[in-house]
Amino acid sequence: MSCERIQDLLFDYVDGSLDAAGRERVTSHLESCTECAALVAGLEHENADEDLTRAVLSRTSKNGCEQSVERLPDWIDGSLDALDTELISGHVAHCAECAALAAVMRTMSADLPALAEAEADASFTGDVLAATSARLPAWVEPTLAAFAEVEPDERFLDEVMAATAHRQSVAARWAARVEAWFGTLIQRPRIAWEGAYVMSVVLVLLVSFPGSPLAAVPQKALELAQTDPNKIEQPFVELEAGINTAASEAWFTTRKVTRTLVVKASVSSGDVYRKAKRDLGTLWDSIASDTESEQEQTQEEASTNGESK
Amino acid sequence: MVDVTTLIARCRRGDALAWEALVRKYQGRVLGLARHYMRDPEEARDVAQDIFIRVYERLDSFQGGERFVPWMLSLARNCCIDRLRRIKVRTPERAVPVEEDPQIPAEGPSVEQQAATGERAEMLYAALDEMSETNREMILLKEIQGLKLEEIATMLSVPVGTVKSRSNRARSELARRIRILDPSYGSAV
Repeated sequence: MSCERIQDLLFDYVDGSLDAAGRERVTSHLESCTECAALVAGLEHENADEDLTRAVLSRTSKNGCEQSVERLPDWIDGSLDALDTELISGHVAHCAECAALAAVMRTMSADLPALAEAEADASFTGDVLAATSARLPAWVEPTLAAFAEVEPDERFLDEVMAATAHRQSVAARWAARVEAWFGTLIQRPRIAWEGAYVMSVVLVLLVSFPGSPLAAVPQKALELAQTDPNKIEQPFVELEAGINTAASEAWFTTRKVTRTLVVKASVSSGDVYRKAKRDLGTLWDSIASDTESEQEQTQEEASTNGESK
Repeated sequence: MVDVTTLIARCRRGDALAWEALVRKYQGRVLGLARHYMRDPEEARDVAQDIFIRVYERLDSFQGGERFVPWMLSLARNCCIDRLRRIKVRTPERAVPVEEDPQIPAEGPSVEQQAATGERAEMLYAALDEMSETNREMILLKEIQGLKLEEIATMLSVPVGTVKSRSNRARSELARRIRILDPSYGSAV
């Protein structure tokens, strides 16, 4: 608002007949305009002696500037109640120092927020992003993992299986089944015990089988254990050579026998079955005839006993 | 302009672009606060980086909704104080050169206006440097960073009434120092 318009209101301002809004506008202007403030001071001097006021205050309540400065920030913010607002306004209108301080506070309140930000150099953002990307917080990891893998629904799995099942060959399907069976088998807890049992049976068969080249190993081991320790070197060498020879012979023989058995097993399985069946029938007939003869003998003995009586 | 709540939600889902946008949005304020506390551009730059790292690591624990800025500034203040305790040395004078002063945004300012604005900012910095630490921090948090009394009270763990009285005292002290440094300040309308 210009000084001319303010000066039109000054008489009402000094008389106290100006409304609150007009008084606020004039007071605000007087804080920053020394010329109008001097004019107001001159007008007020006509009504009251400022020097007298100061003299009275100095001998009674002293200067009110201290209290005024304490409340100036709230007065500027408009957070005071009506009475305190009017009291401060009245003081500021007559105190040049407080009016100047109030003007400074208004200006600095407008200037200070501009100091909130500092301009970052070009590399600052890049440095921050590099530093933070190297320190991925723990709470980000599960989120990223969730993005990396999505749980498929059953319909998706069915469609994929249906689309790919007919493309497998018979051999591939069997291989898959065998692989699945073996995978299940090897994962069972009992597989270790079963493997140990099978290996024990194989070892016993290799050693105790009459035609096995390892049949002599237990006997030689027993002889070695009973040999004089001072003479153990020669027998040990002989035994080692014997074991090597026997092992090699056993390997070749086992392989030969296995092949022969595998070939002949299929051929002779029918004969073996028939022979076993025949033998079983013979055994059954024998048991039956023995039973009949025992019954006949029992009857004869009973009849013989009856006649003698 | 994307609001901060959306940015934070995207950051929590691991969106690197959202985090970059958040850094760009607030790096000026973080750096400004760090410079006020550290009074050294290089120290302020280092501590501002640490502030963002701390914000990044604790973003998941932020539950304040729209009140992100007070939360971030509180972390920033703690970072600065921790750093000051570690180095335990303060530069005797404000080390922010005139040419590195924050630019006050204005619409089409003239060269004279820019020069005048720079001089005023320089004078304000000088007046702030002469203040007591407590009053200076009150001006920094309330008048410069624009935090509310309640937010400052939470940050400093003091009653709101104490913050209000400290704030008024700080404004009065700053006004007096400005009057001494530049008697014409505030007279031009």
